[in-house]
Amino acid sequence: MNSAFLDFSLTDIAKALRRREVSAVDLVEASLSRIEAYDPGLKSFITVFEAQARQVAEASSTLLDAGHDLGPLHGIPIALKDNIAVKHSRTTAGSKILRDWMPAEDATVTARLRQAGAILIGKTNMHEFAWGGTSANPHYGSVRNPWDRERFAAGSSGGSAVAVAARFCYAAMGTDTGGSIRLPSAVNGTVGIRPTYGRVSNHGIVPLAWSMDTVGPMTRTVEDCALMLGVVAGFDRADPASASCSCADYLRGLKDCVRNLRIGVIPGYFFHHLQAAVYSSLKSALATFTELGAQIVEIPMPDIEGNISAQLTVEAAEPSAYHQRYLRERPEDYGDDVRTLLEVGELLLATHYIQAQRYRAMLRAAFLDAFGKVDVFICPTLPFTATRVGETTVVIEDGVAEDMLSAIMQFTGIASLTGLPALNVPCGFDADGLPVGMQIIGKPFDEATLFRVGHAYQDATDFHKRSPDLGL
Amino acid sequence: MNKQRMIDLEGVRLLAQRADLDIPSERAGQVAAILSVWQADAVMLARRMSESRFDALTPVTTFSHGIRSEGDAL
Repeated sequence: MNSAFLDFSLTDIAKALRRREVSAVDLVEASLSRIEAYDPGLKSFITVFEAQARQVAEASSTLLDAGHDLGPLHGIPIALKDNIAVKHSRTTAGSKILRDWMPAEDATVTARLRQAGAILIGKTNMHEFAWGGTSANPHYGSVRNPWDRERFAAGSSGGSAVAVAARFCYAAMGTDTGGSIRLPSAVNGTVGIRPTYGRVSNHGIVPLAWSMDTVGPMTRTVEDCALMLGVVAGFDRADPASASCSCADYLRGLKDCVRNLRIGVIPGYFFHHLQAAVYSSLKSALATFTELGAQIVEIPMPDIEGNISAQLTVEAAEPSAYHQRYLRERPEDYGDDVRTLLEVGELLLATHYIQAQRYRAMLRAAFLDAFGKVDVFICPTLPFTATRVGETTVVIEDGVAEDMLSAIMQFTGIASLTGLPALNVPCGFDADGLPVGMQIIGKPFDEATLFRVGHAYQDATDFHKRSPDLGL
Repeated sequence: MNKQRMIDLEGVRLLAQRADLDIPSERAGQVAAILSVWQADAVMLARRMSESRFDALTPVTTFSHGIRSEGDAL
């Protein structure tokens, strides 16, 4: 089996399929072979749809040969995080509690991927119920980072990022409440977008925190990410938070330049308290944008410091409401860390939750006001590179150990609280060869600009072209 | 963090009782450790949000996208 095709981007493999240089059957067989060979050491999948994927691949090949092209994802293996419903296939949300749940219908994003011709290759591993940032899962194994298997994959969509980085599939869907698409994308060297809240339907996805939950694609290139978002985005009557405004064509204008783009940075916050490699990678990325003709604009935002507390309060309280019944009936079926966080969330004060929600309104207004002066903000996605598997604290600087959950959300909480879209793009590697990610935050529903900025960066750099050596 | 705001095991037991939640005594310590830190930070945030400059601010529950709002992409 020629597995070289697995190194192609989604965009390029779609062209190769239509030129008949490769078939959907070839892609699925290569994908399944690679998963079988390497995933036991990475734990990125909970369920692999071997028989179903082979059947669909045969049908996809037959259809394409007969001139029936279902859409941009025709014949391409795609993975889904295991909190996204797939009809009549188990959807565990990484939990023991939902170990045997077989949804009666597809999530909206699942249905849209199928309609675009995607072949569902499997369901990816994750932090239990998406409530955590490490993807250390006590029920299905800890997801390992393909760049160094002793390092974590971050989370909660760790399996999706690893599946893409390890070339098991061409794209995967993740979910992002406090950073769960962007964080694993950053530490595994992939691209991932948290869309504007309401841009992509959450219908059929096991919730974490209703007021911040989003679902989005994870890929190896920005162009692939734009293509995927175009497939899954759009209004859905089944999701009460779904936005009714029309979607942009995310591929049109993708290759436009970034000359005169105004990039906002928050002095004293965006480049403060970072590991050295993260600092230098982000500074280099901003220098690259400057060379491309963009301008850096400092936007002071004195109230930004409260964002982590607001994030943790909302993200703790809402899941504890969703899980109240299970926490009383089956507490021993949760992993220890998630059970503790759910218990903590039960004990928070209502006034503190409301103050956090008022903080969100203030922060969103501050960012909307700032977007009169800048087009995007750029900051690190997280302040450190992948830590060792199992660690619950992290040292960022000065030898001081910090709580992992608070530290990991230093920058991702901003878009989560404000509902703004944010894109992770690989922007470097540390001395140990671990990826660094930058986060591009944009205006509501302006994902097209994020893709244009990210694509311009990938056009000028080659960080996204490196792949982990799984043979180590 | 203000030591006076540390939540001890008895504090966790009382809060859990009010929430009708059984937290076994052997788990109360780890709940107290996290809750103490988060609660202290939440108190600081609540103080900030109680400043008069925020008197007119209403909380976010979910965002409404039914009509175009200020700052939205055109």
